[in-house]
Amino acid sequence: MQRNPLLIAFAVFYVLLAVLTWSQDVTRTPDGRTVLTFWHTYGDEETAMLKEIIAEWEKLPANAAWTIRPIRLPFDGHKPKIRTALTVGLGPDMARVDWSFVCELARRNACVDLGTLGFDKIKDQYVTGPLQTNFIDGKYQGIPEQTNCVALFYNKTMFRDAGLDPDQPPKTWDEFIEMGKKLTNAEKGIYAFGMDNTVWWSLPFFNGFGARLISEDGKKCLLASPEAVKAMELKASLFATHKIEAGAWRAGGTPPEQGFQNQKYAMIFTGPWNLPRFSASKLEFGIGLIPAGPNGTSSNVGGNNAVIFKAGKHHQACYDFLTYFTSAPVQAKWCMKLNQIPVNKGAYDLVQFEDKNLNVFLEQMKSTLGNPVVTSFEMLENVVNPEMETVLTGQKTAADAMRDAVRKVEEKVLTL
Amino acid sequence: MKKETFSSLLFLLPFMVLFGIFLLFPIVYSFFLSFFGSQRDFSLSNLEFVGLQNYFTILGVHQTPTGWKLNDPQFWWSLAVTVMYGGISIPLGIGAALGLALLLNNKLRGKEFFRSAFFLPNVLDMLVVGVIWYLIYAPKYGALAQISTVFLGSENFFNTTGLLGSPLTALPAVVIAMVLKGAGFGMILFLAALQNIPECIYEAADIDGASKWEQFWQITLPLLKPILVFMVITGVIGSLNAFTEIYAMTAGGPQVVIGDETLGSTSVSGYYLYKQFEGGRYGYAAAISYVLLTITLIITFVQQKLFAGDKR
Repeated sequence: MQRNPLLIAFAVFYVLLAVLTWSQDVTRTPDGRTVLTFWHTYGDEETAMLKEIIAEWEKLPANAAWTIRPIRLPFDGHKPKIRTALTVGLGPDMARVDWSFVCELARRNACVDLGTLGFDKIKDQYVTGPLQTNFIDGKYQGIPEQTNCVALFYNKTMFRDAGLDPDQPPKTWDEFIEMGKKLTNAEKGIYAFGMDNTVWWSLPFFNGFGARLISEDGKKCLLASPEAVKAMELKASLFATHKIEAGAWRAGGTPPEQGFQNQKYAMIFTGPWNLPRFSASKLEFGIGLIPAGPNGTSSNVGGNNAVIFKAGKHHQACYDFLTYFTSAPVQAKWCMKLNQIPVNKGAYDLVQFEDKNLNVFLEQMKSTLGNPVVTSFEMLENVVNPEMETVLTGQKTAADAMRDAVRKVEEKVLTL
Repeated sequence: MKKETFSSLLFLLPFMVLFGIFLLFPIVYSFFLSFFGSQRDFSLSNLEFVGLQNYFTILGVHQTPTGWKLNDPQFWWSLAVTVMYGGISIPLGIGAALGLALLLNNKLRGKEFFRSAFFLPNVLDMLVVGVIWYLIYAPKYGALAQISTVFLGSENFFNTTGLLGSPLTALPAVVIAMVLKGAGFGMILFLAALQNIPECIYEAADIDGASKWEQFWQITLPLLKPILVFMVITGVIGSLNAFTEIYAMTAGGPQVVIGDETLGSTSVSGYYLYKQFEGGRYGYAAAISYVLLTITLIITFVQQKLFAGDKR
């Protein structure tokens, strides 16, 4: 075989390059700062803002020894990536994760108990709903970092056409049904309401009736409680009895957001992430609170939390950064720039939104309750969604379906 | 070791390494995983050993006040749905492919165009085809709903519920979509086989007074048997592996209540396995995959025996 001198030269060059640039210590910057890795799932605009906040934090004299290295992950793939990284011992110091992932991380012994770092003293600063998604097995294992919830979007033009006041969305479920009957014209394919049928999207119903899905100690499923059954009965009645819901939850049904945009559904539940889309489509819409049940108005909790990993070495520094990041002034700045809802109650008085619709979400957020805390929220959905569907299709009563859901949740979800 | 053997092994090494890491290790590890319960942490060394418990849960029964019940009725239901899926899709698929091949085996004008047109869906991704059919079947705005409304008014089944919205029609609707997607491939195979049948056999049959129908049953079909056997084998494997079409079109639903059990009317075994994995029951999902593997091996063994018997 003939030796190619050019190939050999390249090989030698790469070996030398690898040897000369090899460093055992990638956790320090040349100026001696210790690197803290922060894996996040922000978009472009949020990442730019995050870098600004990191720079401000690093400038503070108390933080002269640290630097934050933000690493972006795609939101859709962040769970498997973090699982894999933790399995092979290459996880970050801290990460921004979907709220539903905190419980799995905590129960797999991956997160730091924030109580040991002083979180118990400041926990009351945070909005209750998102805060509760971090309370796992008696400990706070994450910090609320970004939050949202759903509220009632309604089409003002359709309200006007039905002879309803376009500035008065329904405040209770009785009003909702009464208005719904006026708004529905099934022959023309127009319905008052289009809804999803998953656990997360049904939480506004359950929470409004004061029904909890999982006990606080995480050991019992409470879906068979009279409150949960009544909430389920109400939800099913919108479709089956009052016929004001379009069947948007069925396979092939027009999804709520699409139906709302096409003026086929007069009302839907959705979150602030749809504000730019609906505004751009020139829809004349308003936003109201979720109609009140016996327990008042309530919604669900979406968004993300930040966790600190046990495998990291600098828990206190990570905690200091995350509490700075979620402090009232920083949150106010972040939320005004990005049109988001603060997780820190102190920021509520500091924010002034150009889009006044966001104020409804601020109001709704105050009455949200924490979502059910389970190791796998996906499994909870897999088990409960089919049972809820049987109520909507009239194959089971709400009481029977919820009883069966409890059995399956306790067998398949709470044992994880 | 001979020099040739050494260099052969050296050339094979890159593939063997990749095969070992990405195929062999997951196969072995998933078998290992099937004897474990939920993870205690993210390390691979701290799993909760449960022995054969996962297999007993999948295959076993337990006593209740009302009698004996399956531990995991949803698994057995998913197997039944898979059998139904295969039972409908295999004969329909073969029928459609053979029908198209017989049509295109004539002196038809523009048959090259039809041949390409019928084969085209086969090269499309399953997910894409699933989404397209989902939109065709959708009530209110779907193509089928729009067309049926013109002839039957707005209160017809296709417009109010839709084929994918009813437990009775969802599985056949998925089957129709997949049969039309796959018919082109079978058509090409049948067409090649049909063109290899010598014309003189049909001429002899004509002289003997055989009708066209008798010629089809007595000559064409027996000579197409190897292709038919191939189509059945690949159809069975395809049914046992069915997942993407269900994921794209029905997500296992709509739900149907049998006894007091809520079951997905299109929840085939591959989809049920995926839902267990998605829900974090890794050990249980691994055990299901090995039960399914065993079933596939048994079916393949039976098919091999039948095929060997045919050769003799």
